[in-house]
Amino acid sequence: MSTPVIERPGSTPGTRPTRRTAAPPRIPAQRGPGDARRVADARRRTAARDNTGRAKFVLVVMVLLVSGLVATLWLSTAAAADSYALQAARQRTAALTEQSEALRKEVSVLQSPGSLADRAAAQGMVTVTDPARLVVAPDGSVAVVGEPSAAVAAAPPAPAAPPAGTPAAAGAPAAPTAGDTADPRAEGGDAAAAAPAAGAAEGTEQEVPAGTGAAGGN
Amino acid sequence: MVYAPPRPRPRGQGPRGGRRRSPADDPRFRLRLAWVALAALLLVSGAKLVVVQTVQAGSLTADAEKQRASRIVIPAERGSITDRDGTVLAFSTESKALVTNPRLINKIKGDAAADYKNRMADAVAATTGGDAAELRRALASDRGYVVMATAVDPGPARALREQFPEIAEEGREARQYPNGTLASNIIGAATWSADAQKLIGRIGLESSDDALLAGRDGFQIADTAEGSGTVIPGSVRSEQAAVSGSDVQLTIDSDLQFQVQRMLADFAGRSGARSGSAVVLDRASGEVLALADNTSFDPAQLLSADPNSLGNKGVTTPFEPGSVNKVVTMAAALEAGVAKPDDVLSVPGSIEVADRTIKDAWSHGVDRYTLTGVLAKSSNVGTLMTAQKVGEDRFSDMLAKLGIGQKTGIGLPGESAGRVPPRATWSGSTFGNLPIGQGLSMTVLQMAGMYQAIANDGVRIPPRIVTATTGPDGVRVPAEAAEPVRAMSEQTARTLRTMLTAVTQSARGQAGTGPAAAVPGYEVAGKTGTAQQVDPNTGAYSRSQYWITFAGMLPAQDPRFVVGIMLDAPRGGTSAAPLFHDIASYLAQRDAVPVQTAPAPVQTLQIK
Repeated sequence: MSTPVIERPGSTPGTRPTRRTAAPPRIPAQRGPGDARRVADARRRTAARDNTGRAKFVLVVMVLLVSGLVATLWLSTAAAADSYALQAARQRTAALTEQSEALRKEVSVLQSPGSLADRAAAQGMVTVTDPARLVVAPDGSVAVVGEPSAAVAAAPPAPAAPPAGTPAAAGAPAAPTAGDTADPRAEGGDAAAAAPAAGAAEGTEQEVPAGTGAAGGN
Repeated sequence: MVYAPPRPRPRGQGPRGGRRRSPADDPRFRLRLAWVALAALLLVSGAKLVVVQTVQAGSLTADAEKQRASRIVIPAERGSITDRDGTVLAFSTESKALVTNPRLINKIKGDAAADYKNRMADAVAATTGGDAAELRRALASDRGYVVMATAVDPGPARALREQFPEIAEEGREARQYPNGTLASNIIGAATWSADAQKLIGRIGLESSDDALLAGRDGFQIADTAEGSGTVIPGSVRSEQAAVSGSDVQLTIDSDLQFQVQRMLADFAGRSGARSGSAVVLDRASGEVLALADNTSFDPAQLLSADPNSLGNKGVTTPFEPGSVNKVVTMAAALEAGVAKPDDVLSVPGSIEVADRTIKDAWSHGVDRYTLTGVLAKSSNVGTLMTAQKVGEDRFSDMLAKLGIGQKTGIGLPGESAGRVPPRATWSGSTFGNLPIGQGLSMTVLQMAGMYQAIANDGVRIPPRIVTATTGPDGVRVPAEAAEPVRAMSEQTARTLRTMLTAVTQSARGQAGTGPAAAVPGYEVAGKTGTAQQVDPNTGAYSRSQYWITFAGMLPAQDPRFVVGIMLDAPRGGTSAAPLFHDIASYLAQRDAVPVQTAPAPVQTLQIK
């Protein structure tokens, strides 16, 4: 037990003599230089290993974060840009819908029979009443059916409304209740209205001459 | 939280030592006090939380809802009305109403307000074609809401709004009637209702088929940004899509309708008639190809239209048909076999039925007419002689089979069934009236329907005006077909058609009453009619006012069209036959009906 005891600061003397006998104490002076380096190296290695692992992890997280940020930015920018495009497209759709509606309106007015008739009349076209027809028989002979005559422009149309003098009650004339109105002296028959004129002419009803028709005009 | 630093205790003084032992100096006591205060605060908050979350939860939620949630109506587009070829007669477009607040303009513009408003009125009037002076007057008034224009296209409306920021737009569905007065009596009109905030059918088909045309508005319950219609994204809680209205396709042919309307208006004007109606039916299907009154209105200008022109008299207003009704007697006689077309009747100038004496329209002694002659010359006496042979029951049956006294079910509003005195109430003289078309009434449509039965080999198909409806799903649903009624045998109908061609015959000595109805190249069957009107002053039949009627078909032997015409009180001596000729001639040209080259055989009407 002659091993000199070198007190290490902070250690209570005589506490570990038995251990020292069992295993020589690791005194720094006794330790070889390589030994200390080895320990430091080992420590450094483990630390480096730990550090590399942590750095990798941090890097991955950072990359993830950055890429996430970039993706978010990119997506929101794209969404904003798309919303502009969408708005523009919506506006265009609305404008085109308006245009198609306006055109539809215009076309339907222009192709209405009334407008067509007016424009045809303006071009000097005349409605035909009774055209003469050429009928080709199976043997090739042609027969004329009807009297060919030049078409004449129709008289200016009479006013649609009845003349001002007629009672306005025409709008809803109460239907005479049939049973009540049976006048014993009632006369039916066509020529009743035209009795004086039609009597002689075998009931032939004459077309009203155009001249008298003018009374209703204007 | 900021804590006050502990008060420095005097040095050398123990916690127990001290001059004063105030409880406030005891930290434990102060701690406890703070604890109690905090606990009380927490308790109060907790209690309030419970009250808010449970007791008041309902009303608070409702209040919040009210503040931000709004029910946004999604308008359904009104269906269109088309003719049989798909020509659009009525459709809807988007339009804007321009409104402004003159009071606000006064406030903003101050002295320049009057000038500014005048410029605004002029610009709006120039765009919409309105009356500038009236607009200026409206804007000059001290009001908070002025509607400047009701149906402006979106484009011009936007331009105006950009020019004058004080103008606001209100979206409105506008109803377009591109054909103006064409078929307006049938279609009617729909106008914007400020109460319902949608188009409402006011008259005609637009009114009677309103439910079908209007569709169903949808809605969306969502949060909106305060004071605007902008929906906050993702806040939609409940949504129901709008269901567009169905499209209605009519049997009307718009070209024919236009011509018939024009010819009728022209003819009624020339003849001085109070009113007139005409109808053209398709022989085979009973479809209404044209249905016109002499007056019509522009549905786009419903408010300024003459109220008398709004109806659809061809369907709503019955009249006494006169001699047109004689075919009922003839059909019943032929059907019962009590008479044949070439039977010769010795017809005196007058006949007594019960207590009445009925004369022919022209005075004559005992003449010998064939049955065809009785019809073609429209002899009252001859017809009544035949009616006596037929008997009241068979006559009444035939009248019912021909649809007189019953509604046709055409599907137009206000249809009249006409009036036939019930069989039980017939007096002796009634049967002296009905066979000659007095004492009963029918509409033009019923009259044409009667002749359609004759044209269609005895099978009457009640007229219809709606071909099909196309629902919002695009599926076309054909309208329910009318139930055909056999009114007479095929043979009877054919014989009757031949007899009716004699009406338009103009051979010397054998002329019928309506040769003016004849169309060169075609055989035409028809019947003229004149019925006395009741004089409202005397209550008796008038001697000056008549209903002039004509019903006929073209071509006579294989008819394609049936035409009915009625003129109300035209000048004396007017016949509706020339109008029938015009319509029939147009029909023959337009549909290229094959021409008949061989002249029709002359039928013997009178034996001299």
